[in-house]
Amino acid sequence: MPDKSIEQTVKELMVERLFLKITPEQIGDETEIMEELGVDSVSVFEIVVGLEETFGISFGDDEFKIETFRTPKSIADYVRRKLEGKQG
Amino acid sequence: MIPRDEPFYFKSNSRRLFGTWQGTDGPARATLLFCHPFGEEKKSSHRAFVETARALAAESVASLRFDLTGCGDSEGEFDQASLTFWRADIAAAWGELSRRAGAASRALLGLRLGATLAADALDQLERVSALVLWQPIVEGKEELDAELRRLLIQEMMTHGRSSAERSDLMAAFERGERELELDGYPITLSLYRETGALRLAERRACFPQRTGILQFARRNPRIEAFAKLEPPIEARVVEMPPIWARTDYITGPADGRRLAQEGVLPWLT
Repeated sequence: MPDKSIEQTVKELMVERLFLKITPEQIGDETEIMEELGVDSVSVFEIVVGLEETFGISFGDDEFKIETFRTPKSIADYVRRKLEGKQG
Repeated sequence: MIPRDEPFYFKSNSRRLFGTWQGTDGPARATLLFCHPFGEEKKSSHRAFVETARALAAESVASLRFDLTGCGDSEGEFDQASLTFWRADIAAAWGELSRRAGAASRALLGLRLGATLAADALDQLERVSALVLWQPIVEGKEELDAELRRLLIQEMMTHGRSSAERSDLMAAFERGERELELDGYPITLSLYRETGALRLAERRACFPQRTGILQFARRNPRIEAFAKLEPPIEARVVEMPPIWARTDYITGPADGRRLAQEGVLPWLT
């Protein structure tokens, strides 16, 4: 999957699962999702479940780090690392 | 004009439970017992339950909402409750519903863990005409596992990262070094274990012929798989945010009419 589409998929997933009243296009790659979109712990859980279902990855218990959930790009970077790990 | 709802108390063994009867203008053609979810989910879904009950009353369906032991305005403490209490509570509420139903049919509806509990209590209830499961928890263990993950995420939000694994959390619970919670409310280790042992599939033989599942906004793969087991259960999806996880449950749009039309009436006679 091309890198760009992971960011886009993350944004679409966030809009859909968090019922955000904006479009994915209104979210930037570097949008601070907690500060700018009001993402809280309940929302992070929704994002985690959505990422696992969409990309077939699994978050380890020791992988919950705040920097991973800072922006769509940081989330996409995490997804990329997990997908590369699966392929390797 | 539908009558005002009627709050009252009734007994489940020695415990006083709070109930609200929503009657109809004229004889009811059917009646329904609501079983609520837990913790913040109960608060969040309360308005939707009230509005659904009112919308159903306009369709000549009377209903009873009630609070389980340790929840809402019923007696007892949540951290002392057990599934044994709650099964007895549902049976007592069913008795109240039956007493008021007259010749009308009697159906049972639950949301999330309330749906799973309702199904779990089926073998104690007589003449259940329909069972309506709103986003049921299919496996109690999975829900509790999700609860542990939520704790890890909360820890991450506070401290920047999770400092333990789920197995560590469970070990701390077992040793009594950490409080167990169900959606933010402390529970006993025994209730935690009882809830973890709930499996909706084990109750399937008790389901009435008229059983339906309602999912909210998106299809849950586990619920879909459960619905497809033989004999299959009709599963519908209503396109609205999850009523148990809304932050705008006070100011948000009223959904009762839609929930009644799409999430209850299709399965009532």
